[in-house]
Amino acid sequence: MDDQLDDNLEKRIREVFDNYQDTSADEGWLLLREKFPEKAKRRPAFWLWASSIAALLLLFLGIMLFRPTIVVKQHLIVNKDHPTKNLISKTPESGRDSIKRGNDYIITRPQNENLADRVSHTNPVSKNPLKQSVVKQQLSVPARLTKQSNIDKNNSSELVAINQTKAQNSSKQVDNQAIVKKPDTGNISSGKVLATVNTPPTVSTPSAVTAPGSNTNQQPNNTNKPVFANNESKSKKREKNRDYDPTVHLGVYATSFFNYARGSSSQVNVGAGISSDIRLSKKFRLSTGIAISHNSLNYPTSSTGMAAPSARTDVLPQAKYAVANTLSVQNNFTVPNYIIKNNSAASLVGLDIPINLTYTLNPQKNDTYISAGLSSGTFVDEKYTFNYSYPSSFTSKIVGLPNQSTPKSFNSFYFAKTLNFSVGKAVRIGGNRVIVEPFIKYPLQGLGAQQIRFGSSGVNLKFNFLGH
Amino acid sequence: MHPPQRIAEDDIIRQCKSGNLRYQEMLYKQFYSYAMGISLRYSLNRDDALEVVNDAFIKAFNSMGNYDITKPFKAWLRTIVVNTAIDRRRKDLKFQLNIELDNAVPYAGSMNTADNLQVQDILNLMKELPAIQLAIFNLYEIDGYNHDEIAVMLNIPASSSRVYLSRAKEKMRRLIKIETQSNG
Repeated sequence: MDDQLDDNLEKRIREVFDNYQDTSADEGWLLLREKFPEKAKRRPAFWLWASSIAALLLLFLGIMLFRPTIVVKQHLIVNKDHPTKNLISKTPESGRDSIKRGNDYIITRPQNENLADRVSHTNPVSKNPLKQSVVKQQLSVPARLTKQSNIDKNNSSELVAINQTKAQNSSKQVDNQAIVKKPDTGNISSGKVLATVNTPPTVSTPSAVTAPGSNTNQQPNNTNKPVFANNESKSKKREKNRDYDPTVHLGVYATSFFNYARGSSSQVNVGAGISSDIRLSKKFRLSTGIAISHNSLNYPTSSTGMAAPSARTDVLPQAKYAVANTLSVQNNFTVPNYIIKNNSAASLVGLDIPINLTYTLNPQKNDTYISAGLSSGTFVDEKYTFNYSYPSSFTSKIVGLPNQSTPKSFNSFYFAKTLNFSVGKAVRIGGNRVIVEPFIKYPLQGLGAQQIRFGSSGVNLKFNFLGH
Repeated sequence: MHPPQRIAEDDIIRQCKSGNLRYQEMLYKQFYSYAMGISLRYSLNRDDALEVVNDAFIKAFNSMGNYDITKPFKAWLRTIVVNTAIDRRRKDLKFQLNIELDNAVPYAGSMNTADNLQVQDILNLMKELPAIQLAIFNLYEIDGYNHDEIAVMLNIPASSSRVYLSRAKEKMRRLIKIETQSNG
């Protein structure tokens, strides 16, 4: 009897489940597509790596390009062992290094080139006001010369520099500056005796290097020194500060903006980031950086910005199953025929990597610029919320459902999908700049998992470090 | 008016072997109910059953290159679904190995009762079984595995499989009897 029951039961179970019919294949397929093909799952990890590498490269590029300008070349020396080389010492005041070879600081220019030519070659006045001021300083301040000459006097067995002033040696040919090294000299840590030059602009011929032991060094004539040298020095220093323009500006900024998209109500959001401006020429800069910002969009009922529920592959099935669970339809697992979308919202935390070209309108007079470029990036966190309801067959009313959310992280990396345009005005505060920069971002394509075309407009408040 | 063209199962499978997503969808929808029927017996919960079905189809799509097209696809798919369901419940199976069955009540009801069971009735009956007994009952009685195969699949001795099957059947009989008595 038990066996017969068992047989009947097994037969019935086979019969029921082998002929089982389920009408939710469409929804099941849509859920399956979230996991399949697997390539789609691997993309976020790939783009996460790609975006990380891109950010690191930008940072590395910024650091590598951030090198202080070589400015002052006050002391030229000639190594007696290598008379063909002009040597330049380390400038004590600036602390900046010139080109160095072994224990010597070397300039690779031809020796017979006069100073004026060298100035015009190496410090094109028209190109760099900063260097112009430095050259002026070099030509007019003989204070170090005196000091160096005293050193030479104390070491009379060594070579001496030639240093002719305009008043004393107007007819002489004067050297650039000459110096001879004495290995035993204790007065100078580098082991070289230095002499500086107060070379007049009129000097045109190459200099002669004096022989060791013949002290031909002369005291510079200080009578031409300006009476208000200190004031002049201060004003030049101020000018130098004002004209100081490093290759790279690093800065931080905060931004406040509103998002716009078709069908969405405007939402005010905030963000922050770091920026680097790489100087390309006097007027052009390449601006880049990385910023994190929160974007939010809100679509009321019957909006068209986000895809309608019937077209959504990743939201609709969940909503339908939520309905199924709510109704506890277990016998035939039916779900409502249609669902009504009430409203939807998107909340996106994005990493933005802009690359903009900046044109400074008049770098001599003001710090106003315009900037345009493209943005790439990814979304650290994406959350789409949909609110649904369905017509109840029992009560003939529309019944609301719990909000359906689809959180995603690093879903994709978008490349150059946003057009940037901004206008900036800088204000100097101390040695740095504060920049107010209204901007607009226009979407070229859809962004995020839902491919929403949204842009933003607002104001950046930047703080650029000039680094001096 | 022409009737809708029906694509042969073999053609669908050939296209699936080449990774054609459209045909994979067709295959999925064609065998969805069949796979769901198997999965429900092991899962007893619709959401879990659907996940088992989807995981099984993903395995099937990824392994389609190994499928011998001369053999019945249903049998191949059935194996995948069963294995996926067992793998998914393996943790539950381990926890419930030591659950003892209540004293069985001798069956005295009508044999016709079993013939009238519907999907939900059977699922309700199955829900009363411990996971290990349910799995062995399904594997042995419905899906046709022998005790040695079940022992390997569940990593238990074959003798234990026999015991659990016996207990499962006893409990099913008892439950059917109770159901019959309550209905009159």
